[in-house]
Amino acid sequence: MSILLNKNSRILVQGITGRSGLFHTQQCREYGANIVAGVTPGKGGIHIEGIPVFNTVAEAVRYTEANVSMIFVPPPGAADAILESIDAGIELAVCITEGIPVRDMVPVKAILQGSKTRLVGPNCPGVITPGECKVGIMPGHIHKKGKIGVVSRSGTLTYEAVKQLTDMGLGQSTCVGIGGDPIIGMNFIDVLELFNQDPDTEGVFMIGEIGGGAEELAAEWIKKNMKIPVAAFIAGVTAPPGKRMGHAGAIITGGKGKAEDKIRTLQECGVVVSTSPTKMGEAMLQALKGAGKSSEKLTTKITAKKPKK
Amino acid sequence: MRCDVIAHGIIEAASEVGCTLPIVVRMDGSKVEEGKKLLRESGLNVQVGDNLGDAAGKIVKMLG
Repeated sequence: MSILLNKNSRILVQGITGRSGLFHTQQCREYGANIVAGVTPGKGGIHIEGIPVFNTVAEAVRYTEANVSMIFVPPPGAADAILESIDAGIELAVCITEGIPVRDMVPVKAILQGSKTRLVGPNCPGVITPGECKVGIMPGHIHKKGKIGVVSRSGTLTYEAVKQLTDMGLGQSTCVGIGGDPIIGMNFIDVLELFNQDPDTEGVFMIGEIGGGAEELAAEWIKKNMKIPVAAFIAGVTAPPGKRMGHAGAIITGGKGKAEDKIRTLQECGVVVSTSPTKMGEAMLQALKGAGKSSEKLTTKITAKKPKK
Repeated sequence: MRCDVIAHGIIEAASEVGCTLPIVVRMDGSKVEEGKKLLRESGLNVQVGDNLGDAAGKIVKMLG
């Protein structure tokens, strides 16, 4: 099992005729994703790489029964693209676009409440269920089917964590990049809740970073509700206050959002926190062992030969 | 990203500005062996790390 995505997901791509949109559509399809439609206003009626293009999401859904959208629309129109997905009743909208104005995301966040749509992102690598479906820009080949859930605010750090897990034989159930913007759709708790309910996820690795209080809230929630072990890494231990570290949301303001506070809160709530980005896989293994889970059950038989360096 | 493209970029940039400082590169992905080979044969003061930890160790050693 998995969360959010599986082999039955029917995907439409908003912004399919753009350079990035088309490139990643091809990559996702190669991985096994069932891309059923594209949407670019004004280009409805054409086919691109054999995929039918529609003018609106509603029209694409009506003809193809798409239930997932992957959004590659440039920043000025991206928030509107998300609204169009919500309006068409899309179940999961994954917005890759970086640089959407915060002011545009405020109404989107409000409209999401009470809708049937879950939003992942914006400014994220997307979602992948290894061996089944990929909706995003992550490199597919580093993933491996398995029982660890991954949830992260960072893109490249997610790839690093996944690679370490895979090299140790710890496959993943689903990996979710929730995005690095100040206003995002699903947060850590939303994703942790789904992993907690998934019978095939037996541990979760979480990657946070400086800025905001999402990691602290997640820590409290984990302590109260989580049935499976969680390990984490927090980026930005050396980040100076007031400096934006790459992501729009990664900034320490008014003494809040420091890495050390997040790490301490997570540890107090029973989460194993990796001290280095090179030891994320080890932290996960330690958390699994601490919870009495036999790592042999979770790691497949690659222990005979040494993991490829 | 293709590692051979990255390697060409590093070599080109370092040659253009005449960089003599030690460089450690950690790369992984498609065409990683080609990328590493290009860097090793570039004549630059460059070493290739196998992973993040190894690369960090190498640069510390080169400077130490």
